[in-house]
Amino acid sequence: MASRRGLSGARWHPLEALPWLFALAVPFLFPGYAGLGVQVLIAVLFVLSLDLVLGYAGIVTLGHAAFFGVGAYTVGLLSVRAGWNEPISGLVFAALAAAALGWAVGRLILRFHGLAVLMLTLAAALLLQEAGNSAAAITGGHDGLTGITIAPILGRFENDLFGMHYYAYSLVVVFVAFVVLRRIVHSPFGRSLVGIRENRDRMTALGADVVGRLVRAHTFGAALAGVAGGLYAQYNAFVTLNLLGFERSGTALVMLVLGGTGRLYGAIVGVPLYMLLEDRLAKISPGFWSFGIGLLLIVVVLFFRGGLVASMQALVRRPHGGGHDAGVVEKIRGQREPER
Amino acid sequence: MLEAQGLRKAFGSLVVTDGVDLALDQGARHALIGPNGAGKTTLVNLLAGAFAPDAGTIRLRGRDVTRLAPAQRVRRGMARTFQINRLFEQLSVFDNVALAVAERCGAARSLWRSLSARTEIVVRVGELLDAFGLCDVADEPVVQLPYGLQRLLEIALALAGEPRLLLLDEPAAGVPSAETQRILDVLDALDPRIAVLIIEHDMDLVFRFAREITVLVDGRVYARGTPEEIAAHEGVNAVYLGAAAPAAHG
Repeated sequence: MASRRGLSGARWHPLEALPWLFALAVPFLFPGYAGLGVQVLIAVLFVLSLDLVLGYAGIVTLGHAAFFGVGAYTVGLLSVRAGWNEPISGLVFAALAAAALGWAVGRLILRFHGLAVLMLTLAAALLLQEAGNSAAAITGGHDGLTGITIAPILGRFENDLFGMHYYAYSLVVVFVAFVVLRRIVHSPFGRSLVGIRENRDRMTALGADVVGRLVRAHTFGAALAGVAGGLYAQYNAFVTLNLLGFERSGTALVMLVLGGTGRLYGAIVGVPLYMLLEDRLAKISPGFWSFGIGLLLIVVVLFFRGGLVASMQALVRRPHGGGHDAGVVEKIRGQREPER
Repeated sequence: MLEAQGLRKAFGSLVVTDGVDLALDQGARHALIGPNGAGKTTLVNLLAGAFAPDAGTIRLRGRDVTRLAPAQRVRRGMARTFQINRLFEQLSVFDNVALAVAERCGAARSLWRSLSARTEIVVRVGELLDAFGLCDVADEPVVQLPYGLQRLLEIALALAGEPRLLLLDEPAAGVPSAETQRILDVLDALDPRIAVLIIEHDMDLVFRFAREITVLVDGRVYARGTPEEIAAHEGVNAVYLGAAAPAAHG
């Protein structure tokens, strides 16, 4: 129900300030955790970019990490091989490189539907990973690329020990990206992506260039994933080919499904929840943390259809609804309030 | 407006459309009737571009569109409805129409201003909802609408594109008889300049609406003429009784 009013409308809802205020408060509330916070923010940006591609445009991809990796390697190679260390322009180059690849891959595979797209995205990411490995002289192969140095942000702020500067920098980048994404998904173009996801044949019958729109969405999504990868390389100063791997794509998908697809805030809720659980569960039982995540995923898919954000939205709209099934709440609301 | 010549389409060894000619002038009200499996929907799919014909040409407003993709034909003024609804079921009625209007006015490629902030789109959507009597349910998700209203919306989406040629595939199919009147009213109120081709089994609707009728049997044109001529045609009654035409693929 991405089209409904409230949290998902084109106008900003006051509640939307909450996650950002919380993000601002984190380094003060949990002073030792700014470093983890940076990793969370990078993952949030990556999952947001996946939400545009998968949640809005309905492109089921298992290879989205390829663009994260390309962004990371763009920043890394610029630093190691070309001596280009300026961080903000580094992110721009990361976005451009990932966008170019996202466009090319999109042109090749988005003429196909469903399972074929799933397999082709996976194949594209694997091929790229292999290409990176065989070009080990440049990329460092499976040993990774070391020796990345990044100049201070705006010429002033070093990557300090506590990660505070990078936390602020990442938060600004994620927020700017979020504002851009938010405009895109509420624009006529963004709505037409939802139309394609909901009924591709009907969009064609309305005269839409469906493949062209999907390629464009895929290009934007890839660019944002590239920015996330670029941030990763800048903060960690180390990149490996694992960044392009299937595991990262799959994890991002789980995070997105936990929070909810096609609503942007799904990424903002799902990622911290996943990473917090991973951290906590690993402390309780290092061998079985993924069991807990799996269990939660099953519960969410079965009982919180549309993800946790959808359930929260249903509760906000109808505080006395109390049900666990967002679908049922929506139905009841529809019957009681036909004038809405 | 529309000229189709020598259209032929076979699925394997089954010839579903066999040398059909069809011409519609501006403002035409043309009905396509025939027994189940006569190839009516296939013909509409050929005209709309969903299938490529094995032979024959299709000209739309003087230009050959035989090789054009469906979306390109839509942009040249052709719109269609589907026999089985193809709507954005989870979206509201308003959003369904807004998507169609945005495509029409070329705003759909635009990235920045939100759809709801574009007054011209919102106004046009309002006009269409009003014309179709759908204002009351504008914020309802389509999936919750009664079937008759969903059929109306199917037509509204086609008309949002301001077509010159409208292909209606059984607009009243599955609609309870109490609700067919609203569909008839909508059809009667269509812009007289639009050329309309309608497939319909409801003979009352066909004879009331059409000024020309083509009877399709086994993929061929069996008879063609005014409603009076078709009503008086001896063979057509026999066809509908099933004596002359074994049913083929539908």
